[in-house]
Amino acid sequence: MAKQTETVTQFYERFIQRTAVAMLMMAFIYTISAFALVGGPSVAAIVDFLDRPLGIVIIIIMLPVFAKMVWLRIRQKNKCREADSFVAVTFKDAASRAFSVTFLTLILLLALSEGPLSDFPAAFFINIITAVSLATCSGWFLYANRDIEEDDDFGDADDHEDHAGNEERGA
Amino acid sequence: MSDELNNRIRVFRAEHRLSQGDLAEKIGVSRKTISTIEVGRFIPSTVIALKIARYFEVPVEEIFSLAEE
Repeated sequence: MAKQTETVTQFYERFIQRTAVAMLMMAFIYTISAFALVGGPSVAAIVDFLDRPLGIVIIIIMLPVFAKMVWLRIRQKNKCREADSFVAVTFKDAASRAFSVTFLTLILLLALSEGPLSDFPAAFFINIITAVSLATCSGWFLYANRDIEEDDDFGDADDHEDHAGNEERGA
Repeated sequence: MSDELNNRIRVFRAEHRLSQGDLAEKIGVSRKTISTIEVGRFIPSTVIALKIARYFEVPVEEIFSLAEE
């Protein structure tokens, strides 16, 4: 059974995709941790139950690709960076959107911390902000990368004319 | 994402009997990048556009053009 060779570029995109998935899981952990701080012992017990397994899953997802990324950077330096690729550009876009959303959430939480949530511990707000930031970045990235697998055929002979991409396949 | 940019990558691929994966490998990007450029979902950087043009040995404007108003 022949294994298809993965190019450096493909690996780099896989690395980014796994990073996004890990970020989403971390966002979930931060969210439940925040509610554990204010939800009493029963919620804290659930968090304790979920915390470690999720952390282990994140390590399992990220450690192999992170190790390979470090190895590639040592061996090939800049060759494993494809800053112009669709995935890399989408990730940067997601990060910039996450910054905006985080900033707005900070302002909202600041107002709430001086009003109805004034009794909540600072750790609650930090966890919420971190979760929002991670969830926005990873969520937007995964949304932008949805269903983009396209046909890979050569097309018919009469297809040899200019085309705007989004007309042809209804993107 | 790119209502303003037309491209003929699919045409050139067909002429050269290249799959998206083949072209991606030749110019050092992923198939997803080629695929999204081709369908107009992603506007490529100048470097990628020039690499594609260089591979097909044509001026870049033969592959990419601005959409008519």
